[in-house]
Amino acid sequence: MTSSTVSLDLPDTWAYGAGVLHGGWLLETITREALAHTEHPHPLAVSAHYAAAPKVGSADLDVEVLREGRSVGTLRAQLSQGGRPKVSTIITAGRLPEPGHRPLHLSTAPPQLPLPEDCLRHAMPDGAARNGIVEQLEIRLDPATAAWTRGSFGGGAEVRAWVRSATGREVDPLMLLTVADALPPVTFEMGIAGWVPTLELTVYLRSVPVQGWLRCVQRARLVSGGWLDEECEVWDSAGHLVVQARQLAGYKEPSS
Amino acid sequence: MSTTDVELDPGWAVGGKPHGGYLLRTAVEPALDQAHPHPMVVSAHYLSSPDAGPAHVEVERLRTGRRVASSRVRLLQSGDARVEVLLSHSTLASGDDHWSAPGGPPELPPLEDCPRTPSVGPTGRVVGYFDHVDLRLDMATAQWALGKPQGQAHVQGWMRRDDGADATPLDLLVFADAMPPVTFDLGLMGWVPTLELTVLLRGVPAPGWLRVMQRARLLRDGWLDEECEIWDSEGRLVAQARQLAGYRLEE
Repeated sequence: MTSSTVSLDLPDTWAYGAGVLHGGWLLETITREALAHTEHPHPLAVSAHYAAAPKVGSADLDVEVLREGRSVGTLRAQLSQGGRPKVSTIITAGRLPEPGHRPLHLSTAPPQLPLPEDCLRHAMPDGAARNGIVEQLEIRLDPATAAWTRGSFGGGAEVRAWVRSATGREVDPLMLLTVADALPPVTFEMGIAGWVPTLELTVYLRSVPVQGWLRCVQRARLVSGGWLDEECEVWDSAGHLVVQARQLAGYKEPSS
Repeated sequence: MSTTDVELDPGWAVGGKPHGGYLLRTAVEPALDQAHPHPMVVSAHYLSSPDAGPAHVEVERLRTGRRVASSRVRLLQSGDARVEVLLSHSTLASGDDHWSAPGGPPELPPLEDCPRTPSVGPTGRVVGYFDHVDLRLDMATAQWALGKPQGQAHVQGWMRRDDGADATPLDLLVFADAMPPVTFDLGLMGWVPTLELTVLLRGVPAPGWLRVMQRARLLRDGWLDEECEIWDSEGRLVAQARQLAGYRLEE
């Protein structure tokens, strides 16, 4: 088991408001650095626990190679600031199947969405804090699951959207880690306001994506006691399921 | 960082290797404390299977909050990391759910119509954990046991501890990996080693039999996801698990 420490500078490019860094982007950033320590090219499964919110600025990333096997390798990577662990991750790396590899079994289908031009561009309202996510990603929300953008709420626990880079970046497996956490929380559509901080996020990558719009669906099963699960599926433009992610996140219970 | 010596019980082995859910419970238990007694979300990556016998568990506390603590845990044997785990732990709330997805728990035939899964199968293969976990399969989802796989990749049944005691949150870590692999229903009878397993615990289970459902969405290029839901006797969702595992096509 070998370990090393890398110094990182976390820019505010992906920050929300005064400097809350986006959880998916942090996961992508950590995983990119960790992959430099293995021969295996792609993340297959990445698990992260968010112990505290990192701040914009300098950070240390400790990377430990736990096992370098023939078909997969496993690494641990932990982002700290001022000696305090902020995000702790475990990454299993390997080689993803190329697009077009036929599934042996598939029991789910891509979400049905209106065309991107008929969807709502996710943007911050005038006067609201800036949000790096909607600057870096073009997120087109299905109006049927975005009543909250019109000051109402639909009551469902599902959000559907098209996603692509707003800066012309090509889709690659690392970018999918960011996209796995890019949709607005389902709580907005349930009439629960406020921040929904991620406690844990696990992402499975299932295929190298093809270029083009990504179709995403995010849904919850249980909202209870201040915690909710949110699962996210990402499908590429050729209809491959490329990401399965799930997170446990906190919400503030509305006072009754 | 603290280190705990543990003894991996051969009675929990599958084909000589300790069961993954049992390893997870063994690894997680030393990380818990009085203020944060319940695992809330546990993520495990399985590096290589240990053998039954002595092993060590290393625990490092990452954060101790008022409600939630986070810890890193490593199970080692012969100096090698075998299972690497991150967990966040707390006191699980009990009370009414704010919102629960429509559908509810799986519908199962009465318990007496579901046969118990034996620890020695027809091929003579020993699945030791079925001496500890009492599983009663809904045979409509287990036709593969009669040589008739249905291609549904969905299996469900009743579950409890063999000693009849009420399941604890730690037991749910075992149960979340205790269903037969859904690959059996696709006619693939080989071993399905877990690469990663994440378990979300959503409540302390009520006493009584649990309902467990497991299904896969995608099998491609040697990897499959398996999702497991556990519901308690009062119809509450108490655990949600997902794993990424490997499969092999038959020769």
